[in-house]
Order: sequence, then C-alpha cells, then structure tokens
Amino acid sequence: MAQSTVPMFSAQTFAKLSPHPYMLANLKPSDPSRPSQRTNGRQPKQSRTLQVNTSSLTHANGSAMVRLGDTTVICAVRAESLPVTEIPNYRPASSTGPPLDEIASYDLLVPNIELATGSAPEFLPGVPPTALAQTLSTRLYSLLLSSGMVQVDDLRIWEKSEDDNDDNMEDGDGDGDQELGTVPETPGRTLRGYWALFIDVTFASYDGNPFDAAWIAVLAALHNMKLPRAWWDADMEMVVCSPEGSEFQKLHLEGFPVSCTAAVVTERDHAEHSVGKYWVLTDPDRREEKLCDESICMVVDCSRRGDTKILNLSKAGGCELDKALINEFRQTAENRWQDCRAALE
Amino acid sequence: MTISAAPDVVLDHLSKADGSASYSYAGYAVTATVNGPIEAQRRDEQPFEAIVDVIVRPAAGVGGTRERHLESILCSTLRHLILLKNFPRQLFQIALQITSVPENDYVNSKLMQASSSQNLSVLPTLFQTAILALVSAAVPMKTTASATTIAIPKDYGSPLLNPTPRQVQTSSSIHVFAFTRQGDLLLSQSDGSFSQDEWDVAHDIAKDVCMEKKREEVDVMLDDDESQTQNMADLIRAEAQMKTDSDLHWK
Amino acid sequence: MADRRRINGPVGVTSPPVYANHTPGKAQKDTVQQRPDNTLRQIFLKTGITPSASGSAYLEVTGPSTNGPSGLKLNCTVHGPRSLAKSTPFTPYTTLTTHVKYAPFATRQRRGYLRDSSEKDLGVHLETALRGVIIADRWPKSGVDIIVTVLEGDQPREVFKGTPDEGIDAMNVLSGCITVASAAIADAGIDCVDMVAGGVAALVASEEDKGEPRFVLDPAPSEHDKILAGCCVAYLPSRDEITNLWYKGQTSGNDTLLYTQLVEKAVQASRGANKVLVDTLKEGVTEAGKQSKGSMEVDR
Repeated sequence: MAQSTVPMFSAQTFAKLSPHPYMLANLKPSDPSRPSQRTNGRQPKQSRTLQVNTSSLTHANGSAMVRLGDTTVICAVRAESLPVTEIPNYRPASSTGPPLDEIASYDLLVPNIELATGSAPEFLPGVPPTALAQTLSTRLYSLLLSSGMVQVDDLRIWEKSEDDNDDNMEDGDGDGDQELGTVPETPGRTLRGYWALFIDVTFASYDGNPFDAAWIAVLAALHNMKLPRAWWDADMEMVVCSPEGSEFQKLHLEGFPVSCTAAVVTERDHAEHSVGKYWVLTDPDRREEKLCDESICMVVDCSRRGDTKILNLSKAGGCELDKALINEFRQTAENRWQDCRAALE
Repeated sequence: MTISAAPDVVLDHLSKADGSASYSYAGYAVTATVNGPIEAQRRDEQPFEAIVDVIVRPAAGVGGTRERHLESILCSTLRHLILLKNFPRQLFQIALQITSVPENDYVNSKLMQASSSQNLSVLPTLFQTAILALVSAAVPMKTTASATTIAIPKDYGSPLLNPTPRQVQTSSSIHVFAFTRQGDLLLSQSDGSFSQDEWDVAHDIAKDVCMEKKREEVDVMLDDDESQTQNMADLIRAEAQMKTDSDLHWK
Repeated sequence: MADRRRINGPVGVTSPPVYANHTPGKAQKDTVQQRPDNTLRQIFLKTGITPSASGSAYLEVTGPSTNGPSGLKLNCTVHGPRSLAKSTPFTPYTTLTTHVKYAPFATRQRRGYLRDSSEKDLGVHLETALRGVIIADRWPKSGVDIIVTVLEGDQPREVFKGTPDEGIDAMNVLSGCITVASAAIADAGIDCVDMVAGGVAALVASEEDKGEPRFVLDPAPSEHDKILAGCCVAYLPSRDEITNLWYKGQTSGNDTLLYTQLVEKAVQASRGANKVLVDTLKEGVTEAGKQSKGSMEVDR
C-alpha cells in the first residue's frame, strides 16, 4: 500500500512508526483509482460485525458475551434482594407528593465496567479503575436511568399476597400484616423490598469503541435475564424466591436503545485552525481512537417505525461535526440500530 | 429560586495560581484555577504537545465517577481550544471547584451518583469558568467558546434556556451546547428523549446565545442585558477586554 | 466506605436470592459422577482471543453435570516481555507478575472488585508454577504480566450435599489457571523449557462405596460426599518435573504411599490437560501458517 512512498519499511512498520500519515495514506490514496479505506480495510461508515451470545454464565440472572470485531465484552447481571428495612430513611411512596424515582434513589441499578483484565496493554490490573473505566460506567449508568428501560415494577418485592397462601404452610403472615398495616399502599399488598441489579461488564479484549460494545452487552443481558418470583417471608424476615423455573419472569424492558459511536480524523494532526479534510469513522478501533480527538456517540431507538427517538447524544473534542453532519450521522445510527436488533434476535 | 440577572464574573482573584476565575450563573457557581504551562511529569509528558489535566470537585463531598465523566468531556473540549503544539512536554492544569448548585426543594436531597440531568446542567458553568480562567492565565488559545443549557419541556412547550433543576426534572430532554465565538459547534451533550427536530431547534437557540453577534464593536455592559438574552460570547469578550485593559494599564 | 471510583450499589445490605422449600437433596439428581474415575472433564482451549495482548488464551472446562452450563471459564492475557519502569533496579532475569482475579459474577457469592486473600494466594501459586518454566535469563531487565480472569469458578449453581470444599474449588481453578497461562505464554512466544499444565486429583469417599476411599482425577466437589484429600500439581511432562505442588487433606501423616499415589494421580491428570494444550497450540500454529501464507499472497 504505502511501500511506494517509503520503500524501506513494510506497511506494518510504517503503521507503527507513523500511524497518522499511514492512516491518511489509506484514506486518501495517492492513486485516485483506489477507493478510500481505513487501515483496517473498512469503509468509513462500516461497523464491525456484531456477535452476541447469551446465557452462558451460571451464576448470573442474565448474561451476554458480545464481540465487536476484536473487542470482546462479557456482561452479567446479578439480582440481589434489598429489603426496605435496609434502605435508610425509607418512606413508603404516598399518593401525595411527587413520584419518587425509586430506581435512582435507592441505587437499584449498579453498572460497573472492568477494563483492567489485560484487555489491552494499557489496561493492566492492580490499579484502581482508570478515568476511562469510570467515564464508561457513568455513561452506562446515566443511559440506563435516562432511557427508563428498566421498569421499577419488575424490581419490586411484595409481601406474600393472598392468593399465594394456598401453598403456604405457615399462618404467621396475619400478625405481620397487622403490625405493618400502618403503612398500607395498595390494599392487601405491602412493598417489602426491591431487587438490586448488579450489572458487571468485563472486557476480555479491547479494540476500541468500548461504549457501544458494553451497552449492547448490557442490553442483551437485560433482555436475557430472568428474575425468580420473590416475596417477603414475615417469619424468616427475609426475601424468599420460588425455585420453580416456570415462575422465573423476564423483565419488561421499555424501548430498545442502541448506541453508535464514530470518531473524526482530521488531515492535519492537531491543526491550529483545521481547514483540511476530515473523515468520520464509524465504530473506531483502538488504533483509530488514538488518532482521533473528536468523537460522537448517539443513542437511538427506532422501535416505533418512522419515529426515531434520540436518547443521548454526546459529541466533544472538535469542531468538524456540525449540525448537518450530525443529522447525517443519525442515518448511520439508525442503520446500526437495525443491525443490533437483528443480532440480538 | 431566581436566576441572578446577569452572570457574575470575577477574574484573577486567587494570587497563587497563574490564572483564576469565579463565575456564577443560573444558580451554579464555580471557581477555577489554571496553572500552566508547567512541567509535566516524566511518565505523562507528550513529546509534541502539552497535556491538559482537568480536575472537577463537587460542591459537597469528594468526587466520584460523575466528576471523572465531566472531566473527560471538558478535557477533550479544552484540548481543542488551547494551542497545545506550542508547549511540548508541558502541562496545563485546570482545577474547577463547584461552589454552589441551585437547591431543589422538590427532589430528594440525596446526593445522586450519576443523575445525568444534574451532570449536564452544571457542565456549561464549568466550561465557562474554565475558559475565563484560561483567559485569566493568558493561555494561548485558538479561540474562545461559550456554553449553555437548554431544556425541552415534556408538554412540547418552548425550549427553556438555563432551566432550573425543577424545570430539568419536568423536561423530556436536556441539551448542553458549546460554540466557538465563530459559531462552530464544539460540544454537544444531550440526554432524555428527543427527536432530531427538537435537537435542531435547541441547537439554533444555543448558537444564538453562544456565538458572537455580528454587530459593531460595542462596549458591552454587563448589567444592561436581560438574563434571557445574555450573550455568552460577548460576556467573555468583555471580560477579556477588561483584563487586557487592566494588565496594560501601566503603559 | 463507598468506592469513589465505581458506581456503588444500595447503602443497605443486599442478599443473593434464597429459594423457598429448598431441600438440600433435591438438586442432586444430576450431580452423580458420570465418568470413570480416571478421566478428565472435557477441556476447551483457544489461544489468541485478545489480539492486542502479546499472548492470550481462553479455557473452558465443562461442568460436572452434563445438563448445566456450570464449569470453569478462564481468560488469560500475557503482556510482555517489556521494559520495566525506570525506577526498578537492574535484574538479569524476566520479572514475572501474576494476577488472578475472579469476576464479580464468577461464583455463587458475588465477588468484590478488589482482590481478596484467596485470589492473591492463587496468584502466588501460579507464579511459582510458571517461574520454573519460563527461561527467564533470555529477557533481562524486562517484565511479563500474566493476568487470569476467572469468568466462572467451578461451582454448581445450587449448594450441594457435602460441605462446600473451598480447597478443591481453588485447586481446580489453580489447575485451570496454570494450563491457560501456559497456553497464553506459548501464544506470546515466550521461551519455555517445557509446556506446563495443571492437574488435580482427590481422594474421595462416598456412601455408595461404603466409605472406602478411592482416587479420582479432576474431581468435581458436587459429585462426592466427602473429599479426604486433594492435590494440585503443575507438571512438566518431558522433563518429568513438578514446579508447584499443593496438597491438602486429612490423611494420616505416616501414610506416605497414599501421598505419593495422590501426587501420581494428579500428574496423570496434568498429562491429560497437557495433551489438550499441545493439540491446541499445534492447531494454532498450522492456522497461523495458513494465514501468513494467505496474507503473503495478498501482498504480492
């Protein structure tokens, strides 16, 4: 490819020694008949293929392994019960007053990203989470909250209700009901706890675009997860679950948000007033990420046909992406949505 | 809660830093210091350009993951503005201390770990303060930029500029934009649920607020404008002008 | 104390699900031993799953029960040899750093994000097992990092009948760690004297045998009522050397025959794992050969 200009180096050496010119040499070939392409052989708007495997882990309620090219992510969701007695200053929701966002207030979703598994040479273990890992965790968390995907109703654990009493051998429930009857909500049902979902994302291999891969993994794991039917046992003073496989319930997830990331590479390396050419590279790999300052991430939900909702848009680091380009990028994100939808089904 | 009529700016009020600024607007107040160019640590230094280190400290408690997120957004944005190539192996350190956030009587006062709307609405103030502090430290920059927040209410009402926390709570989406004074979109962070059209509208409003007006050179008085139409680019220009005037006073 | 660098969960104590009417004999049906005592469970090994690392490998051991997905899943990355930090004093050998960490979702109980003592212990064992294998003086002044992530520990989903034997679980994990690290080191092209592989054997007693102890290779704790002793070795087959030996049990001290027999069995298990290891690496080499041939043609 580039041997003609620097004959004494192989393409790989050139790429390592001088990554930016190497990338430009590919994007802007001196021979005009050759199409412009990225160092990884993709077209600027081309994403890597997505592979999703679910339910491969035993100790998680839901799990997914996602491969986005050479980026491999494992996400596991574990549900643990949180009795209301464990929530400080817990007050049952009343009909008056503003509705409380229980998921956010009680920290019922706990996403964390682990990069330090040696997934790339710069992510070695033994150090606290890097700024990147923390940023990714925060972005995952705010997207989980703002998308409103997880319904709090799925996470609520109630006092054992009347119709459950048939198969219940103990009659101790009555006492408990009266004692706690001072805070009635819905007649006959008292909220006794919540499921807290620990969403752990582990990178097995890192090759760029961590957020998209992590989000798809979270999405797949949440779609895949099943919660046991649970109730509060007043005698044991704990949350008890039904072991029957048939009583495990999937979550009722709202919407199907998919994120799409792109990075912008400019012709002049950090030009003072960049007027040169630039390329918008969808789904950047590790090498491309290092050369790009500006990036955009758009989370779209096209579940309702013809009515694309944007749930998050994050662009920083440069001035190349303007209003028109962002409008154009939405098309790419919509296409990505279709791909992800297909990969998850 | 009332929005103070005009943004309040104090420059150069901390003597030990190379540059400092305090900025308060719409209930948020931030103090920033800039030190630089200073020598970078051996392990961090870049041979061809300066590195930028942004530190955000919350109004209460110690910083957590959400501060790291804000830092990463600010860092990548400021890197684009500072002329890094002129300072190889150097470091610019920008410390931002949030000194007050608007109180929200309606919401549980519990400190949220990553409430996205809260995250975003403090961002313009942080950004603005950082720019002012960079001006105060006389750090060479390509251009200046300014930022603003816009919320789109749930009831499809007209977009709200600099929304209060209560308005943020009841809005369907919140957008933060930063534009250079030439009107290039530098930063865009949006959250919630919105359509492309809504984003476009918010973009145009924000651009109007942040971009320098094409008018004759005027002395912008800080207190002559309505808070709603306060032009951020003019504000920074006025501050920069006042600073150069006072710096060159001895001539 | 909340961790400032992570998203923290609820302030209150959360507990993993407790299932109603859980009789500890119910989930036993499928945990009866289904293979002869002298065979290993199936091992799946693959190298090169983390391209940005110098070497990497993934190991999976099928679970004790054929119908459950539980088993051992390990991911190993090797970084190096690379130059050490400037502050480190001169060393004529390769400095080996091992790091074993369970993923939070790897075991029945959720694991913390920080390494606990058992994980550090596994790391030390792994280092001892590998230190004698790598030809350390080939790479002076340099370091090799070996990181093993336990994606799934060898534990059944349900609590089984016998008392949970952490020791055997840890031995199984360690044996897997040794094998997977060995594959990853080979993938990284680091010179070794031999291919080391881990093997575990145990002395078990069960009701069916009227309490008569017998040896099993690659024991799955859920399949046995009582495990009297366990042994994990890191063994070099062509040199007939053991680099790491971990023995744990309640056999009497004077019965040295029993002890040597158990070690012998563990070595046998290690030989089995070694076969898989060598096959995988051979496969990798032929594949890489094919690929490089292919890419050369493209270049031309």
